[in-house]
Amino acid sequence: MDDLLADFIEETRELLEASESEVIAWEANPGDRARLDAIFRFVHTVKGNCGFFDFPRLEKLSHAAEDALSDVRKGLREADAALVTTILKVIDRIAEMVTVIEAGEELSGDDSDLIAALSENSGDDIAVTVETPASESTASGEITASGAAQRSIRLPVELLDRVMSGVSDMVLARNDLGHRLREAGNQPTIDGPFERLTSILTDVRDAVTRMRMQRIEHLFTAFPRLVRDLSSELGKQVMIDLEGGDVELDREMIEMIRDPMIHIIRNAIDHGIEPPAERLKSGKREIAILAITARQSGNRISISVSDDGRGLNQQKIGQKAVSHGIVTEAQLAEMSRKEVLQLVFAPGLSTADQVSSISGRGVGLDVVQANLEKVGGSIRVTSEPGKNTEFTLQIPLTLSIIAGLTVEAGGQRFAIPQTYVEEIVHGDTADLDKTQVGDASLVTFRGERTPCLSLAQVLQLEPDDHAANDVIVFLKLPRGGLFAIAVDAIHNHGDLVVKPLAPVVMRSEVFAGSTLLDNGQPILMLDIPNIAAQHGVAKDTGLAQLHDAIESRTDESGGIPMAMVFEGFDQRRRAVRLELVRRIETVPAIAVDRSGPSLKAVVDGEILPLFGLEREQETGEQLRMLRLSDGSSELLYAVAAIEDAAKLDGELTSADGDPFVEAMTLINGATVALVDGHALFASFGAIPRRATSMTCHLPDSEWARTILAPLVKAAGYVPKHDIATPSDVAIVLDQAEPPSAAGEIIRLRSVPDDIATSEETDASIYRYDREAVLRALREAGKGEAA
Amino acid sequence: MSDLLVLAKIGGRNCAFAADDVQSVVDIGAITPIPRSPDYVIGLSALRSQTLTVLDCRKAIGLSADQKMTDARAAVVRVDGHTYALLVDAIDDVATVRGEPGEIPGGFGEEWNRVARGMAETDRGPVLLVDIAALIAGPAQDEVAA
Repeated sequence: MDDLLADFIEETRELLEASESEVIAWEANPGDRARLDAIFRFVHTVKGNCGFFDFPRLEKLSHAAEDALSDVRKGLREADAALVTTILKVIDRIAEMVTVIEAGEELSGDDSDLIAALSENSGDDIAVTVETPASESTASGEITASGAAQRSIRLPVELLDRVMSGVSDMVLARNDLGHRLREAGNQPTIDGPFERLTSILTDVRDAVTRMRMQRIEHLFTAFPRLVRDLSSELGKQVMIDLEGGDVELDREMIEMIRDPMIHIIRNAIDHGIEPPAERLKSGKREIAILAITARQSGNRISISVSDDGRGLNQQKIGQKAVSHGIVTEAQLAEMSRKEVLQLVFAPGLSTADQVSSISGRGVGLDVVQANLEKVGGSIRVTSEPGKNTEFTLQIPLTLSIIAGLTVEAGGQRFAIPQTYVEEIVHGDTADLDKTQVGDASLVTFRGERTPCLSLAQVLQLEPDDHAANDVIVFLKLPRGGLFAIAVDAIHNHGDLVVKPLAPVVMRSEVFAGSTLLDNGQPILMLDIPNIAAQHGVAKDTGLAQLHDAIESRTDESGGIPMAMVFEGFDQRRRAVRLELVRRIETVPAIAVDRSGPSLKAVVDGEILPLFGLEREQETGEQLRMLRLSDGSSELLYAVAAIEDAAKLDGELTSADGDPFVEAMTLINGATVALVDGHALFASFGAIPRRATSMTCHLPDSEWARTILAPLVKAAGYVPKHDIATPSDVAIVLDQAEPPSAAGEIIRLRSVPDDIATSEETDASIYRYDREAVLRALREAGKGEAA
Repeated sequence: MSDLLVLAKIGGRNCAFAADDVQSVVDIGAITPIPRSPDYVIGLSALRSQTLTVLDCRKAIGLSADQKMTDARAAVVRVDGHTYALLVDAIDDVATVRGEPGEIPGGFGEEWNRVARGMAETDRGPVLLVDIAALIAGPAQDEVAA
């Protein structure tokens, strides 16, 4: 009986959630028969299930609701607002009763008020058109908002977690086995099945991860009701528009963002959206639109909540921030509108003059932001006065799998979430300019003095005498602070399955979780925002502003065009108009192709023309470039150093004959050549070509994996080890048989050129002749592309 | 709760955990130390894909830990969703408890009182029944509270 009852409660709960949005959709369009049927099915199912159990009160109420709805179905009654409100109340009451039943208490009280409201001016004839609701809804498990049934089963989370940890165990066992197999040398009879096991395991792991995911629809279903209740309470008319409900999110994450979302929606309806009369006066439609959209982009989900209300009041926010001492008058005067608006997330700032019951004052947007940052997310707001306000929440795709970097300090390894990592610099590079001011260490990064912590010191570890502690990892905080942390070594990066830590370990507030290395050893993941806060280094720096400047482009600087100032490889200071700059890229030097008539480089799997670099130019291992775009075509501009973004307010004087210089101008008192974007794109611009479609098969050996694979990637290929799938190019070593399903074949040989016979040198390339291998790969690529 | 106890020695004294609370008794392998954690937290260890927080029971109680650990085996317990490995001097046996755990006049001594659920009689003589949650909370919190 207990199991049966638990099922009943759970099923009723799910139906409750789904039917709320149905009722509201039905109210908007009373003629919608499908909605009406869905609601009718719900009360009918509840009534039917009550028969199994002894809940006379619940049965009576659902029976009355069923009668009223049945009349509407037969056309005996209109679906007016009063009826809809009553039905919603019935649904609420049923929810209350379910809670009481679940707690194992007796149902008491009386529903005659609701039953009377339902039966108002309705005939008492009992006629039930029996559909097959009970069987249908148990089979389908749930009714989605659209009323379409989705096949699903219900599982206890515990079982799910057990399967997940079982799969993790399998991955560890596989790694262990793989390690032993490598030690034992090549064993063709075992290697094949082992490879197959590996790929199956990868698939299973993917599938299990997806089991943890849930459609964001589950979160969305509650919103129509919320919006309806709030707007009717405040005398406003709001239409909700939901989009992207099929985006999937970690089930835990959905719970995390529920409260922040509700808070933002309340805010929008309470403060953002004007009363209907005011809307009409300003020439808007009476009914406001609240649009909620979820989108997945890469590793992140972005959810935006936008309303077409009165927008945020920049002046008011600014004044409040000054009077609360968050910024000074002078700072405020310097800030762009966009920056001022972000102040709404500062602690203690609430712009509502009147505290209403809806928005309240207890929880502010600062709490919303803090909660989102806790799970690695962020929030921003944009608004046009009198037109709209849009909050955008960015959240990581899963809580449990995070891309991370493994570093070493004091002889121990730690993980850093990749999202914070801005750049890694090896300390012997001259332009770091390490200095010591008092006890504080500073390094210079892109022309900016940046505080630098030692990870060993932060963790109070004994510094390792042999380790140099000279690898600098630059970390960027979600709110825009930049700082550096010195470690002994970088190991690798990859997806880490992060698990929570025991409270006693969390107490120091420097760790955010733990993860297992491939060999099964646990390591700790650092809590970067907290470490920054503990050492007071979470200050805004030039870099954040630089990135903001790229994002905001010219429109934020009061009509004055902006430019990015940099030093080219020809030692000249130049500037390029900011609206052309899409991103700052850092690429390995081997990604530059110097073989063709013009230089090219591979960035993010795209081949782009490269400008600003001489063919024979010496560069370091890493190369920094500006990625310029005119909207459709793109090109890369190699730079020696990036200085800053500056206003182009000096006079432009004509240039000195260089075809790619638009004009000379003064920036901060020095002459700078302004790059002629037009001429540049006219001569070099190209629409980015995906290079990733090309695949290259590699021999299955440790050498190929560690030495050859990076080279192949730099040439723009996707390395493949699986012999069965066809590839565009295949690399084979010595006399090995090439895979049958390959386009071109590049044969490498272990014997150096000076020992090899001329036949061998013609037919193959010495495997450590980097240039020749790269050239061959690029040749092969051209043949394929033609 | 069943009447079975896992007998262990902590700081040379006979103690016991309720067998229901102990998931398993395992050999602890490599331990990753945790910087900036309390003294009694030894580190993290992996049990298959599960991560254990390894605690030194003697230090968690507040006893001095000058002798070496005599046993690499630890009792695995789960509290509030987190899994801990409790390192003790030795894990002896499983025994049946006779009667209800009771107090003894005069208490068990300052450190022991905090982690004691009472004294239990077994076939192997009287043992101190350890309150696992109090043990995991460690001595530090008491100092804060005091």
